Amino acid sequence: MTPLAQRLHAVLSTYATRSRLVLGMIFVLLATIFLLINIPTSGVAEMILFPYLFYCLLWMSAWSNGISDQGRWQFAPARAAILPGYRAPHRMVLMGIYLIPVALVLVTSCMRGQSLPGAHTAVIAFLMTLTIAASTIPSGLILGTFFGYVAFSDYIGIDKIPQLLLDHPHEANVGGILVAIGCALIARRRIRTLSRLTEDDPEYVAPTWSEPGQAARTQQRGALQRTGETSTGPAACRQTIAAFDRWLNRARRWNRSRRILLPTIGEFAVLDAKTLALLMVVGLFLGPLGSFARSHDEPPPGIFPTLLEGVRGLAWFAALIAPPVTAIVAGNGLASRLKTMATERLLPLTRRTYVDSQLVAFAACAVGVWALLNAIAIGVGAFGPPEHGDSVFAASLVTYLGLSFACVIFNFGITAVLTVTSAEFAAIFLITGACGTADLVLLLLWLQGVPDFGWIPACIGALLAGGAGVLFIQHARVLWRERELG
Amino acid sequence: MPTPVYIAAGLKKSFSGNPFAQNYVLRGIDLTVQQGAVVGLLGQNGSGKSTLLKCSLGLLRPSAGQVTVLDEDGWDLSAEAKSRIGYVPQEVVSYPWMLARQVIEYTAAFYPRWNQPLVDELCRRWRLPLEERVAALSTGQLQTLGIVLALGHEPELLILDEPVASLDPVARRQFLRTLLEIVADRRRTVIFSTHITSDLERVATRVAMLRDGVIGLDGEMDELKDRVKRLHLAAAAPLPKDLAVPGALAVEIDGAEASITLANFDSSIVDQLRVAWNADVTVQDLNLEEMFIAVHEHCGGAAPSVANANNVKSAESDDSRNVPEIDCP
Repeated sequence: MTPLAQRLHAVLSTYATRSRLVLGMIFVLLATIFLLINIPTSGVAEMILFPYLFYCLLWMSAWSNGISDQGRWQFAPARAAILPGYRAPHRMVLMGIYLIPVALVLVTSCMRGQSLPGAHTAVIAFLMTLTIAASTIPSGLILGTFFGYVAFSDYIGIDKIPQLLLDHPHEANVGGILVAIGCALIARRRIRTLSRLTEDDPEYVAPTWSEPGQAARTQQRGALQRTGETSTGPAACRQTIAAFDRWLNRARRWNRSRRILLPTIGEFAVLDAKTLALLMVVGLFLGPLGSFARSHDEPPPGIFPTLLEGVRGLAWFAALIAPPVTAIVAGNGLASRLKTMATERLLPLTRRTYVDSQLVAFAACAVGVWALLNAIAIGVGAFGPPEHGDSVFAASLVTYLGLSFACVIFNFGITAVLTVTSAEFAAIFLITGACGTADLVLLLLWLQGVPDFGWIPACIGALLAGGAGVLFIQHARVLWRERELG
Repeated sequence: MPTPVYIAAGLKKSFSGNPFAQNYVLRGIDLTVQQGAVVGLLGQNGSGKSTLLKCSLGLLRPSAGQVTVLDEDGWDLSAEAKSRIGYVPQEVVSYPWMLARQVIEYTAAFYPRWNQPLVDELCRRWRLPLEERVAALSTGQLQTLGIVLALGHEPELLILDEPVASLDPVARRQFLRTLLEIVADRRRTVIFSTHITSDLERVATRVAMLRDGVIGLDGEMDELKDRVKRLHLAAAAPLPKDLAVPGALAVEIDGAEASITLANFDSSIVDQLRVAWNADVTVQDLNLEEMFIAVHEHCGGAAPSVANANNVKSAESDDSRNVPEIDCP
């Protein structure tokens, strides 16, 4: 076996030659330092900094997820099992990359004389671990935690935690360091698991997907076949898929403009089948539970009011968060179809018909989600009773809907453009930045601007964002029509 | 006189976005294919075969030159023209959540003329598991599905990019048999790329060899076999190392013996060599694979020579006027 230093150098070169990871690393280091700077808590500075911090966190998550992907890519191919002494240096490098931001936060926080370096370290270690382990965490657990937090937020009072920590700094630091160590151990275990990937693991499919070559394709096929055999899931999913099959079987009788949408709809149908089933379960159980928790200091109001309260909480949150995110996913729809696009574009359709029908389908999906969730939220009274009279409430609601719709159009349009003009990694960077900033500015216009300045700024913001979104969509139509498929 | 269904004129393609550092994959392709022809594209990896086919179908935009397919610009084919074209890509990609049968039905729904009995027959012949989801198909089965989808509407122009690369020998033979049945109809035209020269010899009426983005050798199959020959010389005295023969693709010298591959065989050369070197000269017919290797050796390709490398001498290095028929970069 060759010396470890030699192998470590070789492994480092595989990371250093990937510009996306190096740039990401620089950004993450800068972002972690920036996060520790004392941030003004009022005025315009806060309005600007809030989206920026959100962007930093998003980007850090994307980067650490990229590291996890790189890890899988390194360990999945057959060479990982064949090359002597392959795994140890790869594990060491991955762990080193994980520890650098964590250590940097600890050192920077100590150097700046901040009172909670341990807690800061725990937060960054938790985030890094979460993103590294994200692909192994069952989606049910993620969604359950997410909606659980929404439902229980009043009861848990997470917003009170910072003050609690500041009141007890010693315990906070000791606890934080213990949490960070725990997270590091989880990350180490995760990296060890990655290093032992075999073709039997469902995860094996993901990294080899991007590796070219006939042999790799054959391996993927084998792994995918096994995944396919076991991915039928619970009965609800099987029924969904069976219903989808019946629907597909009628496709020949459809007219041409509907037919071309079939693959688009299919992708959404299969991907969303499990998520929807899960959401229903989560909604049914956590909604009422959350409502009980909210009213823990009050006498129970009865089962139906409790249920309604839970449903309102979930509906409000879903209406706020899901549409902008769905718009980004839908805007990425054409890019996600690149593999099949070469074949589809040779179907007897003009390029314009093909691109327009796909864009319309994806846009309809985004707008549909927006309309459905907001209709549900309004229907169950999730936006609250009119506190200042019906007319004010109506105007407020319309402004909110306008801003929310503008977010959807803007996110969809800019994503559709950036996915064709930018490389994958740059596109993620730009989309998260542009959409995150625009959405948060619009949200802040709503939350802070409306009480202070009235409806006009919010309406202008909505018009500008929506107008820009429409222009982006027009531009995306042209770009996708001219897109080469090499 | 059959009409051309495919014309590439001065076709160039570069993937470089920098106008000052163009790295051309195709460097000026001129190719005309008449109706009813079966054209085999041969070339090493990276020679531009797939790029040429993709430029032809509007999947890539040519950097210069033009492709005309069924009287239309290849980059902007109408729906009507597309309904007359079949294409099998190098790597067939389909919808993993659909059953193979559903993919066929889905594709059939787009074509005004769809020969379902033919598709049924092909699926039966190739044992395609119709009730299996695409995600679970093997690479060969997926390739078979791609071929079935390309043949279902009985296209006038069939373009195949290494269609048999993933097929086992039995499936490959069956595919070639089907292809022969298809091309029996002289209204059909087939352009296909492959590495397997024996397949090409069975079905192609014409061969075009690509080398570094240009067509290095092009001609009707029979004509090529008449044109390209190898001469074996056994002279009375050692031959000079710089022996140059007009129209030679490659010259290999080993003492008093030499092996000369000619691009344009002429029986008069045999007599000239016999007299000039007092040698016994025998003429050998070449198969397509030998021609392919000769073209690439001549042009400095990576194909290994069976002779000692020091003894292999390209005629072009001494006198390029000796090889006028070979358009070599």
